[in-house]
Amino acid sequence: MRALVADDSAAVALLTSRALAAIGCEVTTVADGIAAFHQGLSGAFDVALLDMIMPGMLGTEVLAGWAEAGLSLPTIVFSGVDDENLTLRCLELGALDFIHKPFDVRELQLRVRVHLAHTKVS
Amino acid sequence: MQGYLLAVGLASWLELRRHRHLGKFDRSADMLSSATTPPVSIIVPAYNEAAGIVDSVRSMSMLSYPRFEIVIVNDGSTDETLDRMIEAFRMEAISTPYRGDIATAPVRAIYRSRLPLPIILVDKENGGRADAINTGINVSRYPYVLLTDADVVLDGYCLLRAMRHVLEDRQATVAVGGNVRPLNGANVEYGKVTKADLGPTLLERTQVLEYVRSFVATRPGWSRFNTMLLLSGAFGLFRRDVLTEVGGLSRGHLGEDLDLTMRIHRHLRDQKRRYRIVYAPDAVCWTEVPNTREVLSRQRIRWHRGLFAAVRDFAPMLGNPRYGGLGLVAWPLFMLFEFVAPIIEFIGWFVIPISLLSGRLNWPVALSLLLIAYFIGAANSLLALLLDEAFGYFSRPIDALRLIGVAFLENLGMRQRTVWWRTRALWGGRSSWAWGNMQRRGVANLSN
Amino acid sequence: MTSSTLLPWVIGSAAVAVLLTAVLFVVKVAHHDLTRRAGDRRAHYIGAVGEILARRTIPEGLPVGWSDDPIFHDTLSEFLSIVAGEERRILTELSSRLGLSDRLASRARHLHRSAARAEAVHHLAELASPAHGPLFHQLFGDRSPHVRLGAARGLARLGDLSAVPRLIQALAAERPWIALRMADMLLAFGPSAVPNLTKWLREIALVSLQGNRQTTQVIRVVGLLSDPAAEPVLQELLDSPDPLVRMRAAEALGRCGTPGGVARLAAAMTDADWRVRAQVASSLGMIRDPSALDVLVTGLHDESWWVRQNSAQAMAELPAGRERLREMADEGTDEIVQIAHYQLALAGRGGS
Repeated sequence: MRALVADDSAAVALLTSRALAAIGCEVTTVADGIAAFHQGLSGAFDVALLDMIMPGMLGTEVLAGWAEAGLSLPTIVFSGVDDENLTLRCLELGALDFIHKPFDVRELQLRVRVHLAHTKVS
Repeated sequence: MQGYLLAVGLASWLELRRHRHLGKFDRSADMLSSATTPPVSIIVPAYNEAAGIVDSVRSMSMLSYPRFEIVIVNDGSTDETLDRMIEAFRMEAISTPYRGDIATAPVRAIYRSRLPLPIILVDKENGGRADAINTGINVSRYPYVLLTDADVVLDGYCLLRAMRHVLEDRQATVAVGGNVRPLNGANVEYGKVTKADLGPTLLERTQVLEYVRSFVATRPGWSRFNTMLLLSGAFGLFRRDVLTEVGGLSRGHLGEDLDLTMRIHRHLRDQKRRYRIVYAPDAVCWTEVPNTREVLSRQRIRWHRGLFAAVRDFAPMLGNPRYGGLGLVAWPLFMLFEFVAPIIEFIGWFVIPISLLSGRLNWPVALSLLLIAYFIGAANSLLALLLDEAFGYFSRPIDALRLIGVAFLENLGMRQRTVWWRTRALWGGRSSWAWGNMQRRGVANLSN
Repeated sequence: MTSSTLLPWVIGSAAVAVLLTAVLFVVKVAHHDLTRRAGDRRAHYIGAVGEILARRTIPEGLPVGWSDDPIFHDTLSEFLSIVAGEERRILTELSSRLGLSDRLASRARHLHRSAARAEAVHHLAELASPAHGPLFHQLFGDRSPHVRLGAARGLARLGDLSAVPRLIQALAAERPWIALRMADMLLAFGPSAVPNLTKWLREIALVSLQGNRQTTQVIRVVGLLSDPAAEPVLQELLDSPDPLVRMRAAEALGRCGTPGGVARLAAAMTDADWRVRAQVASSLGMIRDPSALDVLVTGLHDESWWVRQNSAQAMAELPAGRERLREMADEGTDEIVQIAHYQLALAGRGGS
């Protein structure tokens, strides 16, 4: 299982990639939106974790871009910002789930596992 | 002249120290999540900016600030500015009611983005930069507006830091100026400056020095005494109600930013209202500076003509105690050193050789005076660079050497050329006084 | 003036220039080096803490120097802000193993520079250990406003309600900037602070006829805490002689008001001050109770542009309101047609 983690905070990126590696994912980290967008399009990933505020392209723009390109990549959105509207829009744009910061690592692992299992089935 | 610069430099140093101290308590994270942080409308006039407008707006939309909107005013561009914006941000036209507080050229349509991005695009008939900004002010709905340009790269925290100064005294603070730095040579990745650098040519490097002197060694000093004379057009945060009170920017004026700032001062002092206009040294933005002599000369000529217009318009404030420290000290000094001094220096070019030839002045004395002026000028620049250390740009040793080199080289010709341009500016009929255009290379293409 | 009297000046100014050159160069190099080292330390800490969290064990023999390094404090705070649950527990364990709290407490008490003291207090507030309650109370009286702010944050994290009255006092006593941050700290207490705040409003604000910064901040905080129990006192504040107080009360009612309170709020649409009316319109839109519709329709014809705008926006929040707007989009005055179209268009896109 290959996971793409996009977050500009080194601490978050490290933590998440270690957590996902622990459940058997091969993790690639990127620190800006444009890299995230292109990596996603490369089709090499089974799940993506996307931060909302990144340099280059915002999380919402990445999602919109992926949707337009017809990519179906299960995406979990990190949101540290308390913006209900933003979160709803992300879900509308195709994100599967969102995780508020501060997050529980076990919960993150669980959600990723669940979504990966769903996509395998479908 | 050098004495004046030293005095202002000292005041700037004190002000910058105070800022660094306060900066540690920025608590910008708190401001980001606080409901008390006022929303800001960013107004961006755009005329034929197709090359870089999308990247610029995208970069602005990522500013770290809780609530803001970006109002781009397409001033009747003849290129694909409008189309590129509509396409990139998936904009649709929605008939939007707004207050016509300031009279402007007609608006054709107002667009909003279908994405959850706070971007508003106003399409209007051409009317000039001032007119475009006034339209933006009309359409904007937040209590504070940031006036900037389409080709400026804003630092991610600039809004937060500028507003922090507003929040120190919300009732009185009506405007905040920012720190403008030359973009040339900097590494721009995805709309953010990742590494500042000096430009490749001596021309650009001299301008770096000029901007440092102006924004790091001068403005903080002004701010300390509430005599900010000039809020750069590249970054000026204003309280919206004051802008509408003074009727926005003046159309057809060459030195609009100086004119606006002075008008605000005059208006508020006439009304005897308590106010403050401050400078935020940590609110940084980057702008492209001319890299050819032709464009630079046109820019300087334009600035000087704008200065002349301001001198003419605000002459009643000179030495007028009704305007307090501004009228009695700051404005006269500014006028003296920015406007009159180049002319005097220019005249000096003729007077000194003549005096020498006629024997009234002897060589060694003339030479000594010149040398003293030269070294003190260099020292002033070096002091400004020392103050700039607080910001931490140009940190490599090679940069230090280059900047030192420029500090010494500047007075050997570059400065004289600027003096010539400024004096020349006052020549020529009114018809030749017009905005030039600088080739827009686009923000995205500026990386090294 | 002869050249010989000028010579010392020439040499002097040249010497100054050369001296400044040397100073500038040295300062730049030193600064560069310091920054690079700080960056390395930070990367090291991020890696080390990330490793600890991944392994879920804290190794023996941790370097003692960590607890004295402000960069480590920052890194730890950053991690604390992104993790919850088990990881948070591990980080707290880590800090207690390092004796971090004690180091920070000592720094907060004894360091001379207020910047360093303030930093230590803020980090201590992140750790939020009940043992520090008394220390926070003590530091709340520190001479530096930033230390006081940190102490307030600590008290808010601990949920120590006895500090609420002192915080309310700080809203009046501190500089505007600090007062705003203090208001945020009050907010951090959460709904548990509402009884204290409403008690203050009853005892002080309702009695004194003068509104001021302190009162408006408290009202704002109460509103943001969204507790319907505050509704009665807020409704009484709608009768305050100060329009700003009335406006803030209306705003707060929009956040924590109940459908039962709509009538009282709607009555405030006849207020003399346009800012109050505009706020009432917005607040009615936040509560979304259909009984407000008629009042909002009258708001569409108000003399103030903002009141008209806000009324239309509020109407768009109600299904019946949207119906009315659709009707008005076909008739009514030019401006109302435009406003109606605009609000409907925005509503159709899921709001903005």
